[in-house]
Amino acid sequence: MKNSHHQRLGLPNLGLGVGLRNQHFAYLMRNDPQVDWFEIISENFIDNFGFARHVLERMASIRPIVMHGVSLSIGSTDPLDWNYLQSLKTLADFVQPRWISDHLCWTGVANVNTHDLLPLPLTEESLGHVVQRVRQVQDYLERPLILENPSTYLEFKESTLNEWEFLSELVNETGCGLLLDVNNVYVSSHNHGFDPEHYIRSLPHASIVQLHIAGPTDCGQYLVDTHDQPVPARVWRLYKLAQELTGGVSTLLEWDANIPDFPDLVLELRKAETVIQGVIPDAPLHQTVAQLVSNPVDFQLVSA
Amino acid sequence: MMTEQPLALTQLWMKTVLTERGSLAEKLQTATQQHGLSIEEVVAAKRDLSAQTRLNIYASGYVARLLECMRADFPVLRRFTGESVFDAFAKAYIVTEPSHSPSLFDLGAGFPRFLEETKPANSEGIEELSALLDVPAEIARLERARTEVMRARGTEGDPSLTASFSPFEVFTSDLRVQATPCLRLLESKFSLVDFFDENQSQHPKQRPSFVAIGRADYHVHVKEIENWQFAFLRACESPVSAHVAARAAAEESGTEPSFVLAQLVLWLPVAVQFGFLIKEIPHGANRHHHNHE
Repeated sequence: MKNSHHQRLGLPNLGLGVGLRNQHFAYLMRNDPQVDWFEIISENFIDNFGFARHVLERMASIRPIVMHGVSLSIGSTDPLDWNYLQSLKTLADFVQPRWISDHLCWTGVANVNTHDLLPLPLTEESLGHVVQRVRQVQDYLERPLILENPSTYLEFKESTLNEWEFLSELVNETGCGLLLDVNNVYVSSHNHGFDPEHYIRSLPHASIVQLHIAGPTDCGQYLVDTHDQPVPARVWRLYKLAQELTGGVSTLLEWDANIPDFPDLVLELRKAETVIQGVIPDAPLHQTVAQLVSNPVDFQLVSA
Repeated sequence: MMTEQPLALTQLWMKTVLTERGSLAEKLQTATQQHGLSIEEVVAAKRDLSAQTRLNIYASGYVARLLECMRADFPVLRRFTGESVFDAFAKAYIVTEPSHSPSLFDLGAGFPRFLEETKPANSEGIEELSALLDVPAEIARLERARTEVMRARGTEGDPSLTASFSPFEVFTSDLRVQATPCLRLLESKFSLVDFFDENQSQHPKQRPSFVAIGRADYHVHVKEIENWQFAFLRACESPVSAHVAARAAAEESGTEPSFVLAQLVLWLPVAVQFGFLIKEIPHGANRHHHNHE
């Protein structure tokens, strides 16, 4: 999986990683991590000087860390939150992450944070707005920002661009990187009726720095990005396609609710190795009749 | 061909739909009144899934998501009130006081005050019932303080800060002490600490109590302490001579300085063990003096 240095914005392929979650702290302090790298939710560690910081310091000393945020709100029409960005930079100085990522979304406006990853109208106006803010953030952080495609449940009537077109233009204009969440592509493609493979094929593959995989839930009329199930076969197929098109990029298994024990999480992650060899796990899509919360926040809870 | 709405207007409209009170129909009515947009103008309906159903995934998820956070932050209060009453309190708080912070850690910060401000008026002549109305806010205040201590700067990582006191060191005139940066002190009208034990089902009794919350070796200690101990720790917020702090504690708690000094012989090592107190940090030592707030 050797790539030219132009791929992934010159950032390394870290291999297979998982999110660093409270539920696994005790295990990880006593056992070998068994994974190649960890992704942290930046907000969980900003201004946190308790045991979580201690665990992070230990993990950062033995494995690469990537910072993944949920509050940048790059698409909001509120001014950028410079206090938040300063905290992010301070944490980055401590962690020395391989890169910093967040989502193509907005989380609130008028100084209210909904703590959700809300979709943007995909228009030229939105694109210009996000381009200008990505440039500001990159200048401040002194590194490329890596942006993830979110799961979405609605589209705006005024949208004139497809999401892959929007992301491609954003990359062209700013030089930012992409965190391609193939599960989110699958969820959104189901909810909006587009071809997920066409989406992935249409992206600028050299700018894809990282992949997310996760298990969503079928609620009957729509899919919800629940991060609480094994990765279904249909998402694994998209993952294989993405790895082929990118030439190999870092993979992160997201599991944020009903989190399994760490060894079981690693077993699920390791399936990625067989998928690349063409063996797709025969995992069904989880179904429920219950109404579920999109973008769960269990992984951000203090007592979780 | 429809007219393109400014991005800011679309976001304000959607924020209103998500965060306003009421059913989806009521939220939409409020959003239309405030921003002059209807759902038909904003949200596309596709694949037999209506615009209302799509928008409701976000609208219903807003409160549900933040309610989960509140439940995780206040488990003791949930045990006291029961799940349905807690949910009613928490939903009212979420809708009344939306989050303004990028961190979910800040979400519950105003909950104790909210409970205090919104409790029913006291029942005249039924003193016991009136007092009971104060318990939720008091429990929430202690739970919030415990959460803050969990994340605050502590003394871990520097063994020199947690060196114990020798038994009679307090009688030397130059012993200087200070509270740990994570220490929180609370006064309550109720005996709250026992109720924080999961196995303790008896409700808090109405009696004054003093509580210290500290952290040592990443273990949070919530302890009921004596009046003089509370006064002593409060006197130690800044580095201070143990004798000066003892005199202040004696005056505030109505005891003699000699009594406090004698008690300190046994209690200072305990205070260090629970992460309440340390010897003064030498001048110039690399140390942060402020908590995360």
